[in-house]
Amino acid sequence: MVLTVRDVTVRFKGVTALEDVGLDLQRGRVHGVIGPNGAGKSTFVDVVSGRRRGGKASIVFDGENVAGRSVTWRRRHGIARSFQRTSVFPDLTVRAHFELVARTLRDESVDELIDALGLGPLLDRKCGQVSYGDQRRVDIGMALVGGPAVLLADEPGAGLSRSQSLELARFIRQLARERDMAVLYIEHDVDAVFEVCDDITVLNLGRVLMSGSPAEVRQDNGVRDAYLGREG
Amino acid sequence: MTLTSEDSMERRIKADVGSGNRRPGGPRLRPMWVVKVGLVAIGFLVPLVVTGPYQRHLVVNAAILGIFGLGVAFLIRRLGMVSLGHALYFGGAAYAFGAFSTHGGLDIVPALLLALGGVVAVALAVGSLLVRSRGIAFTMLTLAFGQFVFTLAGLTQTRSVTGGDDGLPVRMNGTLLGLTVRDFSNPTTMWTICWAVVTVVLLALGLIGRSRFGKLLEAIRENEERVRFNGSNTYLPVLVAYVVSALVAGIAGVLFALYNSFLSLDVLAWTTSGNALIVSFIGGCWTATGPLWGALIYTVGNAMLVSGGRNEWQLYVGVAVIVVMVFAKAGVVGSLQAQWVRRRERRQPPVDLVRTS
Ligand SMILES: Nc1ncnc2c1ncn2[C@@H]1O[C@H](COP(=O)(O)OP(=O)(O)OP(=O)(O)O)[C@@H](O)[C@H]1O
Ligand SMILES: [Mg+2]
Repeated sequence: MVLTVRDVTVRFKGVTALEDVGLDLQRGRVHGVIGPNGAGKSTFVDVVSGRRRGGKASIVFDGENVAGRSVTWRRRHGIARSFQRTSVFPDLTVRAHFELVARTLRDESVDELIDALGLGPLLDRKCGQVSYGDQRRVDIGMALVGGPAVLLADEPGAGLSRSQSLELARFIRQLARERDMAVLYIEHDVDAVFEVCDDITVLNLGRVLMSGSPAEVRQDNGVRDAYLGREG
Repeated sequence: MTLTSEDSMERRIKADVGSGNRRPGGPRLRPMWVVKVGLVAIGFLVPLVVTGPYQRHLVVNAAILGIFGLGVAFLIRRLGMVSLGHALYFGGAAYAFGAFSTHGGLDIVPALLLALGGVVAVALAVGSLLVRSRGIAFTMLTLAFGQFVFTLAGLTQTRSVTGGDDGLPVRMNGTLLGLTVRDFSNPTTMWTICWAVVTVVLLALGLIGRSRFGKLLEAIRENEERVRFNGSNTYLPVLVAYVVSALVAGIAGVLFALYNSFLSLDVLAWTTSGNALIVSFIGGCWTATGPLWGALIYTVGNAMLVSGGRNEWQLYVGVAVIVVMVFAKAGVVGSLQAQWVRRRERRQPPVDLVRTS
């Protein structure tokens, strides 16, 4: 187990966004997190990535509780994330994006990553001027620099077409296998989740509704009632 | 497996056009550099055109204010952080230089180096507190620190060092590059010195801007949180940028002391910080030389409009700032530059359009 998260509780002025949520991530496997809007998925990623600290959560990464560590520390030690709302630097070139991270994390193999992402021809364009889909690739690409042990992908397919987001999901699964990386994968497209994920946790109203293999989750009545049923 | 997107075809076409457009061959001297070197050379000849002693005095003042503006604008341009307290470094360096020379009896060179070293030390200390904040909080804190030092310098207890309200006549000892006090108070000589400093500062700030460090600053300006999620600490780079900007302000302050050999407390006042800000905005903080032109406009305008004892200058400055902010947000230089680029693009449409349509 590369990452074990327990007891994540987050409250916003009366609203309980997360209540005692936990899950495990393993190298080489994709762990899907699904749940309706406002279920607390992004908040959970915020906690694991260090954007939101405090509380009694335990986040054990490679045997060490990193709950008190900063965002920067976690990224340097192998917990990377991408963002639901694209998070890039509009005025910098695509190349500069990768150079910045590669230098910080001393990664000399970014060129391969750039090729794999299909961003080669865009390197000299400002990120604000490339298509939305390409910006998403840059966002995820930056998270992959340095070969993190854990990738927290918060709806990488947001805003992409169904086929594009499915392609991205498969790409991420392949990366997990090739690089022996643990992936937490949030996605609204349930079909994509069932296809690429090895484990699935279902969140609803800040609580874990259930957790298990795709087959188990698919058969669960509670999940169907709360989530799958409504989504069709 | 690699990812492709639906616009990859179009992208490939553009890439081809792009590469076809690039001329082969190794690194060449780009025409822009020739122009820049030419402008620097021409700058040294300004006294040939500006012949009146008073006019020369004005351009020297403009250069000093312009360098100060470059320092303040650096923080705005690279980090979007507006300081209203850089008089602390401008005036502080001037007073430190004055005190080291006059009271300490040091020669010009050590006094100057100590003053600038002091600026760096103070900027590190003050900056380490200030750069945790951003936006309006940062601006207000810079103002508070600036005013704190301004008040301190005016106290009776510090009077023996600063001269208080009476000001501090600076007694300079020794020489700098063979020049003495008399040379420094000569606007023609001082212009040459100022212009050399302008060149060095522009070059240094330009190199910083292009460096990886500059890119990092830009990234912090655009999306600081994301920079942290990329594993970079953002505190230290911002602190370093703050110190650089303070140092440039300090250099301007030392030039001011050299030229005037007399200091009064208003070099530390927040209005002095405000002037640097105003010239940056008038000229444009988003271009390399904007603050210099802003300072020229400001200084010459001041001289023309405040003749005959009338003091409506602040009124005109106010109007000028409003006009610039409403009609030319990028500043005078910035807007002219943008217009030039637009006109050029109209004359030769971008290659992409020609090929793909
Ligand atoms: N900064 C905040 N302040 C107050 N409430 C917040 C904040 N961030 C999130 N919330 C609330 O916490 C709950 C969980 O939000 P979160 O963004 O984690 O959901 P999500 O599962 O990611 O939803 P989505 O699928 O829409 O991305 C929601 O009720 C949301 O309104
Ligand atoms: Mg979310």
